[in-house]
Amino acid sequence: MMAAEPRTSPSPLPTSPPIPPASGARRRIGRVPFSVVVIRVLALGYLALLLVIPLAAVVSDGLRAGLGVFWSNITRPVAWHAITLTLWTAAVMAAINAVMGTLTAYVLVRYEFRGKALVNALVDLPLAIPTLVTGVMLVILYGPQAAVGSWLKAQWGLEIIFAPPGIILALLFVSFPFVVRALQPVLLELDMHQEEMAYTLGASPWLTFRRVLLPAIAPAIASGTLLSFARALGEFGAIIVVAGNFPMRSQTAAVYVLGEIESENPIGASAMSTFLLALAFGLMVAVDWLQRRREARHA
Amino acid sequence: MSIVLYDLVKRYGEQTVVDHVTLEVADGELFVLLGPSGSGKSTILRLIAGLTPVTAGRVFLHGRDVTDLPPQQRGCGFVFQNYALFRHMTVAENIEFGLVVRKVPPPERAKRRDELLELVGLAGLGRRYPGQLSGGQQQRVAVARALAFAPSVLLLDEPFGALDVKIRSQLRQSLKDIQRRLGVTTILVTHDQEEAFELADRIGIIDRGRLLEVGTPDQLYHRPQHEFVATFLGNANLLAGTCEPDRVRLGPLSLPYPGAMSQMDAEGRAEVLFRPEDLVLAPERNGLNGPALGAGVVEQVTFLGPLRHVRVRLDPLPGTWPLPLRYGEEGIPLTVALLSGANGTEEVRVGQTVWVGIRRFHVLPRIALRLLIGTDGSSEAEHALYLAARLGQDTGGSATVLMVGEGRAEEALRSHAGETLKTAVADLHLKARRGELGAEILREVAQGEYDLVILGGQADPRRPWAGSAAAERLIRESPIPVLVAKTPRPAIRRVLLCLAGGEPGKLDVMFTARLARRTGAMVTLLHVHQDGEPADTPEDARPDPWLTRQLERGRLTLLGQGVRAEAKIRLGAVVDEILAEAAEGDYDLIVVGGHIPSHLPAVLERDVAAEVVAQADRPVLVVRGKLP
Repeated sequence: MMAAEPRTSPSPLPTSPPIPPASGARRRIGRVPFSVVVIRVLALGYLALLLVIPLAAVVSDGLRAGLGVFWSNITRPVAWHAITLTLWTAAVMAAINAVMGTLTAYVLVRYEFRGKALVNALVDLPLAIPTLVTGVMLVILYGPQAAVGSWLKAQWGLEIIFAPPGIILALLFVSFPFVVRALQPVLLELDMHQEEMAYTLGASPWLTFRRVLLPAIAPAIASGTLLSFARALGEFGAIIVVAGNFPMRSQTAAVYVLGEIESENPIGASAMSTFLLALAFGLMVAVDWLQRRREARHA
Repeated sequence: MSIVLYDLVKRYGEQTVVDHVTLEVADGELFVLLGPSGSGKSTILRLIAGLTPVTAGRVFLHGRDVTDLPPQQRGCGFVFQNYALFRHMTVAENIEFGLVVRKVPPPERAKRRDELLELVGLAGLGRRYPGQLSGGQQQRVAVARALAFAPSVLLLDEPFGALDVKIRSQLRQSLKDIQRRLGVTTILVTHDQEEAFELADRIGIIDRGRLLEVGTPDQLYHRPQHEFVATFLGNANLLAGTCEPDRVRLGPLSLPYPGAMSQMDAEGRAEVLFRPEDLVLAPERNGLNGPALGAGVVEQVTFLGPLRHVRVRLDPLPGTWPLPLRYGEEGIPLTVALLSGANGTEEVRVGQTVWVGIRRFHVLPRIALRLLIGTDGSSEAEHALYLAARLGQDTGGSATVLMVGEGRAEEALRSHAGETLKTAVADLHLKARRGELGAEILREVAQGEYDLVILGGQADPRRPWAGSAAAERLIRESPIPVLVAKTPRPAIRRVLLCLAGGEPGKLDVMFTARLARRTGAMVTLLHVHQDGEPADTPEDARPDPWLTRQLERGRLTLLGQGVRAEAKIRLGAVVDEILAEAAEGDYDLIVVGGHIPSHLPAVLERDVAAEVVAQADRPVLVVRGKLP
């Protein structure tokens, strides 16, 4: 296209020699060149080797003994407790993250303050810190012997470590970036004039947020929240340190899988793994759908 | 009065975006704020709506002081250039938003919404989403939404900016109809003068944050008071002239003009405005009915539909020159409008000699040089005051003395500066500041309107910057020319204009022309040729013809503006030769400029201007910076 232009429009420099067409223009339409085929095969082959084959292996292993066995492995009291614990702690975390992540993103986008660049960089830190370290940090801070932990225990009777609150805290820490990072680009793109317009029309800041801003950013909040939820389902490192491995009390699904492998019950491990996989897959499909819907509306 | 702005100021840090704007808009008026982009006109709208807090000044809407109220309580209908429609709401919901906020009951809301949809010509489209509408329709939704809650005033920020030309003119008409029908007081901001003419009851012209002039379109077009207004609105031929009682003089021409002297300064300096349609063409002198401006050659004929613009270049007329000053312009270029198809005009051809006659003209005051004198009470600063007094007397401009000092010294300085300049400058201002001289001058230059900074300099070449750190800083950083006053000279009679950097700077030539014309000085353009064999006499030097041509262009520019000028070429080291020439010719002023910052780091770059300032024993004017 670039090459065709000088011919159709009068050249600004009549004395200059004609511009040769770009090499890409020689490509004929209708026949896929060899190099493109190679690239595709490489990419898809890599994906299959790395992702699809192991996934298929786990799923087929989990379902090897039939659906009945799979189901009974999932619904064993210990397994079922691990699943519900995982789901509800992840849900609480996701709810908190949705609110606080939105707030953080808003502050980071709309306000100027000293050290903003530093805060912005800190947001990604949980992704870089080994999750085991996260667990250790929380134990140091909230452990029964630690100042904050013992105070909470004495004052409110609240146990953090080896209990669900610890799991939620650990999950909050490791999945903090997801909502913030999902929201930031959307807020940046969103025109400040929309909010200003609402103000001139008489809307209070809260009403403006609820009626003007929130509808525009809701899909991004939802996809960020779902991502953090999915991330939480599989969290292992931080939880094993913070919550330990107590069946029926603080054992989450991922930790349960480890327990099953250690007690030489590969079927149980595969079944739980398959279940987690299915859940994660469903969530990813939902996130993808939300993003598509947003793009479609923008177009 | 629906809208009253009183002494409104908005600053962002050092930068003044809105500069003491005072304005009254009458009930039901459609007022247009017109100015180039970045002139601060949109900021004024935001200040009225309360979207941006004011730095100083008051905003009154219908007699109520709203300066400290949030936008929610001001009741301004606002339309942004990008409309800012709520994309997740339907057209109807968008329009009803202001009513929902005000808790208007649904049936009333629906009625109002339908009225507005009808008013803006979008009846039946209420259930669409903004994304499903064309640009023009979106704009009308934005107008309807802004009008729905019966706002006290309507503010429109470039509402037609994002539309194509054809829809634009349709929507203009419909906006004007709606505004008339509702009688809502409206301010519209635009940079498009055609739009302003078509819509406005009155126009206000904004330039660099200042409201220059307010008037009806007709007034501003035919009788502007500022050069900027004259050239920003339509085509303008402006010539420098002088006023005499009931006459205006344009070089050899003298035209009757009753009351000419009334608004001019004592010298009667004026600019004479001829709109293209105020001039007529004829093949012979006696073909003209009225007075003639002169004969010239047709350079260009541009067809504009109903009109044709003919570009004619007149031979130079002694004592007058075209404004605003242009570099390398020879003679007087004029644009003359002819009605297409009028009798006899078809024969106008490029290259033909024609006579230009005057049908009508307007006279406006010419702005003289505005000087800023920086002083800290040192002995060097004395030179600055002395030189300013000389220049002030010659140029008849205004002068502001900025005194940077402490307490008691300030008082003494004040009376002293007043004494020195009082008799020389009619329009004298005194300002006192604390802090560092250079920084305070730069701040003042950034805020005010000045043409030239004058400050003292050390005359002893062995300690070049002693006591004048401000001078060293200013010649590097000032956006306007800086005159470093050294050993005082009795008058400015001879000016040495150094084109050291190779290509002659346009700015320095033009600024020197301005200065020399007013002081009646003779200008010598000097080029120092660095490379090549040293020659015994300057006559042996053979610089390339391109350079000779450039020098000649500079000289012609000076001549064209009524300044006597000659060109000289010397061979050798730049700074040494400049100083040698200055001493030999006993010049009163050295002008250096044309120093184009290269890609080299500042340390490696040779700053000829700074070196000349450091070593010269006479006043040096450094011209660099941006064109205004």
